[in-house]
Amino acid sequence: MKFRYFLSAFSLVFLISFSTQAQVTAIRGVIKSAQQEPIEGAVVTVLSTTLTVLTDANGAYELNNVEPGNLQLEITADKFDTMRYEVIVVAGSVSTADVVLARSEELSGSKDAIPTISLADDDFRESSQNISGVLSASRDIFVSAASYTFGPARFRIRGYDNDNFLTLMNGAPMTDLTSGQSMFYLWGGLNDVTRNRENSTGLAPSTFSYGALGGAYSISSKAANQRKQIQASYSLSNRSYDNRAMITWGSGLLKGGWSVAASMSRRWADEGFTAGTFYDATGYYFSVEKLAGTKHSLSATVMGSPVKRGKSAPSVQEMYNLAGSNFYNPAWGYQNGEKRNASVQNSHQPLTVLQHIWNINKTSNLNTSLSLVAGKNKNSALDWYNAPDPRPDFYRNLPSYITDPVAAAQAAALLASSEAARQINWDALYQANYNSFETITDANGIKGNNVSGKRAHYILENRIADTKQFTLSSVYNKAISDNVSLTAGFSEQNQNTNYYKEVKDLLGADFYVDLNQYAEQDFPDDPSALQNDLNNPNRILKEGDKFGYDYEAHMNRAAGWAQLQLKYSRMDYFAALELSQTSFFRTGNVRNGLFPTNSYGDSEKQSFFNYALKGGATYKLDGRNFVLANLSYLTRAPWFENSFVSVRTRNQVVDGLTDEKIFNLEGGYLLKSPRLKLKAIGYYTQFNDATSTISFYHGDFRTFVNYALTNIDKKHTGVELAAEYPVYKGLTLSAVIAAGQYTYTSRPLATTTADNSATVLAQNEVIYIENYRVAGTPQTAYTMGINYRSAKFWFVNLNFNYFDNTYIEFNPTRRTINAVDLVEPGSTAWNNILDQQKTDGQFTLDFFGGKSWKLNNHMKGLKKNTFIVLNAGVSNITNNKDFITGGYEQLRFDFETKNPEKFAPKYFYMYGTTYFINLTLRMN
Amino acid sequence: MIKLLQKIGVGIAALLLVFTMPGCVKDEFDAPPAGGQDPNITATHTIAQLKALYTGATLQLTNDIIIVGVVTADDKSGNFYKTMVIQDATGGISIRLDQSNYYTKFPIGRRVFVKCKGLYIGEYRKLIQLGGSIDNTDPQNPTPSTIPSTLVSTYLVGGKYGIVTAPVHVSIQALHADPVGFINTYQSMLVKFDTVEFAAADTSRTYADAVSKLSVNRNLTNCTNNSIIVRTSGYSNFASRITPAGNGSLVAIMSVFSTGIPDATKAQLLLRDENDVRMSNLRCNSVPPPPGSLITIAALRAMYAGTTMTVPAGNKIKGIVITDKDNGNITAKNLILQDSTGGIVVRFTANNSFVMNSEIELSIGGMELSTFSGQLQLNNVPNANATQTGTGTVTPKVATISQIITNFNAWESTLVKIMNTTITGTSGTTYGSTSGNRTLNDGTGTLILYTQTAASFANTNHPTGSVSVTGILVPFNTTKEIVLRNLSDVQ
Repeated sequence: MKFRYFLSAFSLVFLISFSTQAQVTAIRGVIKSAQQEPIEGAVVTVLSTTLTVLTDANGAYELNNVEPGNLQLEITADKFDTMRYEVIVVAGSVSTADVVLARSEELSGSKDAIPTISLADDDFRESSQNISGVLSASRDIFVSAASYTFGPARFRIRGYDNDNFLTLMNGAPMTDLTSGQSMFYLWGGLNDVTRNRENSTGLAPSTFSYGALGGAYSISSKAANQRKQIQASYSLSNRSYDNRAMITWGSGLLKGGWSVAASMSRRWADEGFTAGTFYDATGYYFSVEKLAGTKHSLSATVMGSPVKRGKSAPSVQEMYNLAGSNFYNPAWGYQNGEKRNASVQNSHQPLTVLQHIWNINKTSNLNTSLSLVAGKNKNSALDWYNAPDPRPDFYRNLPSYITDPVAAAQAAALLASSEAARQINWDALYQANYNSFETITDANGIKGNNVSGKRAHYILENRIADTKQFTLSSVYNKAISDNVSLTAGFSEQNQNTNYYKEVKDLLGADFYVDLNQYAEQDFPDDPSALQNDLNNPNRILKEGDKFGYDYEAHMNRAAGWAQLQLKYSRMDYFAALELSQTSFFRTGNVRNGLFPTNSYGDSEKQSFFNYALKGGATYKLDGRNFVLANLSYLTRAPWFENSFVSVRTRNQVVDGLTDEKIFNLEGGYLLKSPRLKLKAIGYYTQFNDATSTISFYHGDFRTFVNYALTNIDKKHTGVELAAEYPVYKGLTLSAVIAAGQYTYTSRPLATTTADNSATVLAQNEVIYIENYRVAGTPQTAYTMGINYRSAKFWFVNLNFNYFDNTYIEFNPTRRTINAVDLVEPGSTAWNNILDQQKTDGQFTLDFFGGKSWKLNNHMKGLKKNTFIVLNAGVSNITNNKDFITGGYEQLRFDFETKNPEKFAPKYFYMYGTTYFINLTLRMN
Repeated sequence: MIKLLQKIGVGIAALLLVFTMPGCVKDEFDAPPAGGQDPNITATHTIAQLKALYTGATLQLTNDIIIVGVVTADDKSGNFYKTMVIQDATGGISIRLDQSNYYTKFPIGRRVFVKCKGLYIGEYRKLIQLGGSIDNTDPQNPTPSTIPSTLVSTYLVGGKYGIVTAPVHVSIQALHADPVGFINTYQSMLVKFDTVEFAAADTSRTYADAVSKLSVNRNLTNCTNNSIIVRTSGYSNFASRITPAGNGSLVAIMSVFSTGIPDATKAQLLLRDENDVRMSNLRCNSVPPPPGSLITIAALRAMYAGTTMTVPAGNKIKGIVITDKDNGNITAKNLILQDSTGGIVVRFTANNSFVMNSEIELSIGGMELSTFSGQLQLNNVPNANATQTGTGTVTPKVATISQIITNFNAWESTLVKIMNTTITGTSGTTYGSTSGNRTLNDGTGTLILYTQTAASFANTNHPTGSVSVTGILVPFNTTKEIVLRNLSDVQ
């Protein structure tokens, strides 16, 4: 009874007295094919139990004496894909679970074969990356739409940032502790072996983790979870890559309890959809698992995804217009007639996971995982020293910057007519280096050591993050009674990432020098200020040498959690608590000449003790109608990347660094009738006291500054509606609506610090952004889908989508009193400075379809079941090239003229029509 | 099915109950408050205290002195060049800065925080100034020079803007009573003089010489003939504008220019822009306009019913003198007044002195309205009934002789112009040496051109070709005649 009082304290749900009288608690149902034929002999198993029955000739089954609650059924049948189905069982009543199985030729997971575009492939580890990539294969209508259909529009579930979702690989948390982002890119291209997933959406409890605000995803890629088969596929596309080949083999359970699985994939393109981009990615995977008796399973899985790709960069509309294309890419230029991209990512971070599953007894199990990620992510960029900015869309190169109208028209005509003028001029960069003969005195810090040669004005640098992450986590599940189950766990994550720069290419020069040209300009009389590394002054750099900044992020997070689930006939409850300790510090490996006293060595260690608690209740009107409400409150340590004023140069921590506080309420209604499926969820999330740091050139202070924003509050509210209805044999209609409003609810405070002197230029300047919108996602997204699935093993699907209320990321310095100094309130100039830009709402139309053939029907000689599957998808059929899916205002603002167009916003556009054709051969 | 729908209904209702989503959608985006904000800086000295530190020798301020004032003069109009004037409750001070168009940053009405440490305080011709260094061009009179442009932001910090500084009301009499005391008290402050006017010789003249870009002094006087200089730069954007002729108020920065002789301080006023001058009242000592209510000349003419009558009391008319007494083609006691509705002869009791194009007001209550030789006139008007209120011109109505004949009664005593007409005479080729009647013929009809023998041009020969003729329509009983004003009327 005490527990009931506790629940009533934080649950908004009306408390209904629940009865616990013993009656028959059972699941009954019929298993049919998509063509409504009953399937005989299908095996229906209640997961995590030993309950198993076979279906009769009518496809019917009955599972008696099941425990109430949300149960997972697994249905396997020969020639059909294995299906998992969740059923909510009310104590004392009989629940119905009619399940339609897809023939294995029919590809129940057919959607997986066509990857969505905005995912890991394109936005590989950019901050714009969204969660949808991890959601694939979900059977939840809403989640499925959020990942496939809304993905290309950069849709984010509930507008949440990536750090509000949790991903586990074979039980190990895959969170990058610098930013809280899930590291999906670790298994890029390994689609075949990462399909086996469990999801918990929102605050819902799960058996594998405490979870996260937006949901948790547990991927199981170990060998025993891979189907016994060999499968090879080839795909043709015109997206970020043009070709993809995959081959995957699973041994199935071998003698002695062993299973082995392996997979390889290649994705490549000489030039992707965007000019100047290329793609060269490999995926590899190997897993071995040993079942020891019935109680122990031990697996080791290694995977990696080495990627090398030329990236594209967003630009200003002026350049898009001059280029005549919204897919203009300023990141490349011609060199000797070949396209060369300056912005190349080169990444390889292998992941190893050891997993031990111990089924202790009928009611309890313990799952322990150990993971290791180690490897580098390199991103190249141009760097220059005492030379003009080489970027073709630099603001001084734009016609709009030129005041003389005749000269501006000439510049515009040149940029419009000459592709070379719009792109990087590599030849000019080489020439500048060839003509630069200089002598460096006291080179490498040695008195009298003079080095002469071609000193580089331009180089290609690599910005490198070298990560080592180790995690240990363990989850214990225990069914305490028929009604009560306990889940508890702990995790220890330890990460060390070394950030530094490296000379990638001297572009024809003999050497580069490790000096800070801005410090040289600002402090001409201080010979030590310009040294990036005072301990190694005037260092001569060759290709491959480290330079610039070099620091390590040391991070540790230890957490323990427990969750109690109570399931009764009318009501389910859960409550969970997590306690965690996060600590981090910075270690500088170089002594920066500007900050000799606080750039080298360890920073003060930052420690945060945090808690998270959540709870919820589900009221079951009957076996089909459910009402639920969940509530959560948590505090969260700031991420490493937001905690230092200027993490590249020094150990100075942001003033007033504090925990973020998050309150979340979600609730809704679910209908799971045999035909109509309906989901309506509302949510209200309040984020308080977030911190963020950025560095940029400040137009008012006329210097490069570090900007620390504190006291950032946001409110995310909205509804998620999803419905699916089978209209007629094989024809299904679906509709999904995600309508949210994500706004800032505070006026954050900005502290501006000069990057070169640590002088505080402005303390706690108020940023007036209350009710500004959270950018980077459509806040409303709609889709209507028509799906037809034929008995002849083919299907087609058409989705009509509409996206609206996408906002452009705003520049905080433009929302200050200084930015509108002496500007007439309400005037055009005033509005131009302050208004947050909303992009136009857009329609898109997507198609996908597929067909499969069983070769055994045609070639009797085949011993194994052999299938050929053809899938094709066409996205954005109407070739809408005006769809701005996001963008940001440049952080530089001209405080003199107050003309925001001088540093105009940069936009991302959605690709025009793209296709993806996939052919798979499968033998099992 | 119905049961299912009921359950869905219950479910949705429960959803709404359970999930009380905050429904208020705020569409109002945030905006920073207008009007700026003050920095977190506190004044250590009033402007008066700062000025008191200067005791005659230019001096660098080495302490952390901070003054706060509101800008009262900027460089927007160009009358202040590289000089800003700020003022607090205790006084004003000029600040020299090497920045043009600084008004975009520090306009009039903005509060400015001046971190004086490092600045120099001194004087230029007795005007106390803050500057960035010492200008020793004249070693006898070192003066503060401008604060370098790049350093302006380190010394001057802008605060709130849109602050109105009310000028101090002062008088020229007070200045004259105690020039030194006056200047000390009000130097660099915004002052306002009431009931002042530009000296007669300086009215309707440009404020400065915009062509040669020279500064010009204009005298401002009160009604007791005390005066003060208003000095305007030839670079100011109102240099070529005309000083008003009326009387009123003037707002300016109180400045000073000493010629160097001890105590020979000379006060001068510097306008911020033309709006500082508001002078639309009557000048000092001008005769007040006659009482009565203004009626149009047409209304007056309409009163006349064919017999001599007396104009009712309380009426006056206002018009422009279209006759030219100086050329003698009108009786010296008479003039003809025209307004936009018509014209009428005024016959004074004595010779009048109103030259052509004078604008006059005339009291006509009780005056005799009668005809003389068929022409309507106000007769026996005392000369004191007329007051000149200004000057003006009447543009003649262009018409053919045929139109003139048709409208002669309505157009009587007004100015008309006939194009392309010939002048012919039967008794000589002069305008009027023997008989004054000549004939105009423009092809549409003929009209008598009458000239008095007393006219200055009576003995001048008239042209014989086609000319344009301007004149006043005057009947002589039933004869329709036109009368020239001077020789300029024949072109």
